Amino acid sequence: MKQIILFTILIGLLMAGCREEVKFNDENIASKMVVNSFIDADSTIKVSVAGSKPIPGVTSNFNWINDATIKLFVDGKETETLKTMNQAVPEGNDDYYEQNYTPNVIYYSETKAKVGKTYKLEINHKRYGLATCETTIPEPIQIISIDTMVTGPAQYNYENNNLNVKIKFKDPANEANYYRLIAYINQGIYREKRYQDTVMDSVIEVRENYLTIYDPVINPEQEDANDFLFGSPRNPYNVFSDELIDGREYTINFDINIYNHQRIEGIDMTEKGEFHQLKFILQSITPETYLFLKSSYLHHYYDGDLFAEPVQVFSNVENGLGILGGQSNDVISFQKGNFPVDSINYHYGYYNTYYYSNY
Amino acid sequence: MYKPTILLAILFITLSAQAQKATISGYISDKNSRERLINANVYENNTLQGTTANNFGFYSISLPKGKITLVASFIGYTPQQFEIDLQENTTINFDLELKSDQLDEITVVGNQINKVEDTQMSMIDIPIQKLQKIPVIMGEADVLKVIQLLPGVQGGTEGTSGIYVRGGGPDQNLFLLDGVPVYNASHLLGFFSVFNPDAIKTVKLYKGGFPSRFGGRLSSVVDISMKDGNMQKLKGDISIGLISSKLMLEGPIIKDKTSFMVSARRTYLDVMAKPIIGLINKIEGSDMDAGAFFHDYNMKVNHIFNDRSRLYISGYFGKDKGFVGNESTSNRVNANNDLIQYKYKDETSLKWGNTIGSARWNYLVSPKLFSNTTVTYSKYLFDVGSNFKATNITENTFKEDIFRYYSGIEDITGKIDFDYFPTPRHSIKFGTAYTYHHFTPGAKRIQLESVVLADSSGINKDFANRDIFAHDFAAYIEDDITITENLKINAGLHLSVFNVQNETFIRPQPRISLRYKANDNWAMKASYTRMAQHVHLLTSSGISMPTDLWLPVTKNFAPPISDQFVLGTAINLPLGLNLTLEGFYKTMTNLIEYKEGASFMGNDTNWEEKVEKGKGWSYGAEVMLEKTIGKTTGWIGYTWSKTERQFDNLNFGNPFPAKYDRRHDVSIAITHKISDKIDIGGTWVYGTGNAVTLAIMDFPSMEIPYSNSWYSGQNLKDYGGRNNYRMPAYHRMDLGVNLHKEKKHGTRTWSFSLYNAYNNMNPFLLEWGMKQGDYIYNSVTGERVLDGEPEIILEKLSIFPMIPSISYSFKF
Repeated sequence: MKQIILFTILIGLLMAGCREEVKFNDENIASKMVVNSFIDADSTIKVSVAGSKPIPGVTSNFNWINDATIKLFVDGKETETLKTMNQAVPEGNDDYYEQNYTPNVIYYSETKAKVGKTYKLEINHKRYGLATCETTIPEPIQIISIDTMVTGPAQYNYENNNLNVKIKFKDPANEANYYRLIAYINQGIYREKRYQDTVMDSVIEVRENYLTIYDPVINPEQEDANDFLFGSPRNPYNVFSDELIDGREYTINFDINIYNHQRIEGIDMTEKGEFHQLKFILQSITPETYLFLKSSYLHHYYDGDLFAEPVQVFSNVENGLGILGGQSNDVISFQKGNFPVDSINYHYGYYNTYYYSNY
Repeated sequence: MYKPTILLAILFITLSAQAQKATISGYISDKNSRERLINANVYENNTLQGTTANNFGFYSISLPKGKITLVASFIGYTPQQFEIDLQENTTINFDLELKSDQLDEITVVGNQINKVEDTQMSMIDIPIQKLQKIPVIMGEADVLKVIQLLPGVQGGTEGTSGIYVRGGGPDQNLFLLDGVPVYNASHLLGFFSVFNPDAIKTVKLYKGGFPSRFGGRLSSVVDISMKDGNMQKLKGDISIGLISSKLMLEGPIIKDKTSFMVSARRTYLDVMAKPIIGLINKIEGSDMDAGAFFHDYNMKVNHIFNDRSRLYISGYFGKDKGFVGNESTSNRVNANNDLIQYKYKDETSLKWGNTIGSARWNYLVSPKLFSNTTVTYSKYLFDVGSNFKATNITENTFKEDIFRYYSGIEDITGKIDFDYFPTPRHSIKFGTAYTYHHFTPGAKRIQLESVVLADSSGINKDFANRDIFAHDFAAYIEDDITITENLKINAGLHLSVFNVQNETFIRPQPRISLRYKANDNWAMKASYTRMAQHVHLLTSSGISMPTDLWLPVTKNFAPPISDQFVLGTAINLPLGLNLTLEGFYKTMTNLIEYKEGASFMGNDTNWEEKVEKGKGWSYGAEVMLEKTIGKTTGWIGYTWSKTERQFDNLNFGNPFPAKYDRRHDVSIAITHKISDKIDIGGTWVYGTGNAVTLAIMDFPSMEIPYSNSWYSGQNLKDYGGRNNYRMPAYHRMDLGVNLHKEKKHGTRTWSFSLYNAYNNMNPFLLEWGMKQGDYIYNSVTGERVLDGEPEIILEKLSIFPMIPSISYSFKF
């Protein structure tokens, strides 16, 4: 969160300021077609299509487009016309989410994407005309090795251990490569409720998280005045280019806070159902994915910031908006303890938190 | 064969002509204060051959031997004349007296430059007395806010003192205080400038046609001279305003030999905020302290050794501070159900300021050669620190985090300038300067410490970006040549050599100005100037931040260059009116601009990765009608201009309007003396709305796989392009009245002013807002319900409504 210390005066003025409606000059503003798809190697292609909507006016839903014609070209050769399927609303989401974020139709291919192939979409619609986009699925980059080591208790939080992780890979030389490293952690932590000395109930809290990785290539140290005073954007999607490591073997080195399952001397709490799962995915991503993920994060981060120039989100859709990206993955995962176990009472909902409580 | 003979003949004739002449030189001063009068005119009454005093009030003129009548004049002063039989080189010092009917405050030391006579164009001399009459926000007279009212100058963010000259950026202005560059000319985020009007003698703004003696910035030079100090008697000025108070004293140390001037001012926003903070603390049960203030001091001492030698020592020191502190306690229960008491104390403070000093020695080498040797020091430092301490009172342990960051720039300069007057037809200036720059891009200190009972552990780390040192050499020569009575040329060259990190940048910068006088009241002028800049400023576009950081040019980001052509005319009209009309075309290369998304706020690390390189251009026309004498003085200015930027990696390579591109800009500033006791002032400004980047469309994104970022899947916004939208037009009127009364020991003045007198809600920024429908009663159920759908509307936020202010001053 930004520490808006410096702007005491300015904020005071802004708070005291006066708001007034002004006429919006809407000349030359027309809705554009929006195409979104991330193509996974060895998977079919799924595409959503919508129309952008002018911001002013009565709030309305996005115009999800169900009647577009989407042709798929593989390496320049027309391969098929994508079919449509109805999209189920994700469980637990309310009407607003359904209306605004969920297309009711997804276009899909029979073709499975292959590494090294170039995929082009031609999307035609009677209102929006023709939009095109293309991407080439990159070669996967293998993780050479992964080393983990508990290096002691985590700073400021003695319930956790500091787990140092080193992931080594080799970047192919003389070509521009783009990556995304996904670090997933899912932990179960034993909690009990006591009444006097009697354990009345116990539960395993499940905490799931995707981590922001602090490595010089992914998130270089930014501890300067700007960062200190106002905060700086991070890189939560952990995307990076090979600009600094071209053709080299590189080891991503970072720390994770994991729950200390041996925190009570002599007792391995995994016996009570505690666990942790770690999964690391090194994605080789297209340049378009890289630019989209970087710019979309910055777009949100700086939205409403008076002191930064707004960020236009990268798009590779000609005559439209959105992204056709792609990636191929190399995955390594491991686990301590068993999960799920039928007899254990799991308590979900500590998603992305560092909740602490005394029972 | 004949060539040497002809050359010798020409030389002989020239020398013979010179031999029949003698040189008169001297100084022109105010009789009462002995302040030197800059740009006062001196001419021979019969032949009307004349010259103008330089920045130190010195003049020199060579005239034919014989009986002559020499006249010195200066607007607002009674002309003085001497009749002499000129046979040899002579010194005549003039002490001009204020006109008897103008011995009050309204006396305007007006625009001393005769714009028809002078080759200089695009220069405006701002009379400091008039400046103090012009109403401004919060009643605080401010040099830069008055400059904002001049044609060709945009003001940037409302209420601040930033200036944008002829399409230039905020980093392209050279502020000189007694010849010393001021790197951060702002107090309190730019709401005040560092120049205290009480301490200032003259202000000149150059927008184009730059004389060769200036260099280092692309778009403007603001040349400010501090008062020298009254040589005759002690004078002073005390003023108390709503947010600041000031004191200025000047007087002789040794009468007619040595004088001094000191001034000081301090704001008391921090004191005024105390009750509000106290109220918040009372409501929230907190113990917070916060505030912001600045204080600054000017001083000058000058000593006359003799008619040929004079020493000036001047200095400025200013400091801003903002701080927030908080103390709190809490009780927590640990894993053993023990109650633990904690006490927290945190404090963050920001300090920044300039320190400036100069020593100047004027020495008259000969009646025709005047020298000025200067040593200057300029330092800007920004320092931010925080301290957080958590104490476990129960267990007597604590944890303390200390962070400190500082950055800045420090210059030491030595220079020598000469004014050489070989004949009445030539006025030559030449000189050279060397500056040693020391850039501190950012150093930080982090200290983490924890003490657990008797044990202690801690981390102490100092990090520093490597300091950068640069050598900056400049030399110049310019000659103001009278070719015929009607045609004058000022031609010159400024050469800069900048060496930094094993790179040397050599930039010759030619300058030329022409004036053709059709008659005594009408002249046409033209100029071409090239300017180079060897420092980049990483800055906010809208608000002057203390984190703004000067950095030297690099191999990747070479010196920006501007080329400016100006064509204009100057006309003297009846009733003391002057009309100037100028058209300009300016190109700028090697400009930097932050990449999309890079924060504007100063960021020193890897700055080259955060900026893009591009170019810009600006063209337009300016009209200024001004009146500098009489009871009613002021000006009306109008500017039509267009300013664009083009960067390969911004806005998809397409040109876009600069942030402060304004098609139309009107400013009117008038002061009027009703009587000895009352004078009034008013301004009115109108400007086309600023260009802003405004989102115009929403579009859906997709959930980012493998992420729980809050942003994942959120709608995105489409901007039509950089600075794609115009804010509504800006207009405002300010009014002021000054009530003077003679008292036993001086004059007291009550000043009342009204900023934004007709309370126009000018746009500070545009935002999308939500408009709910009206509430109505359902006739069937009787419930209060919303009628209609919520609607997204465009809103402007205005932050400066009508603001009255009052101040009191006493002058003795």
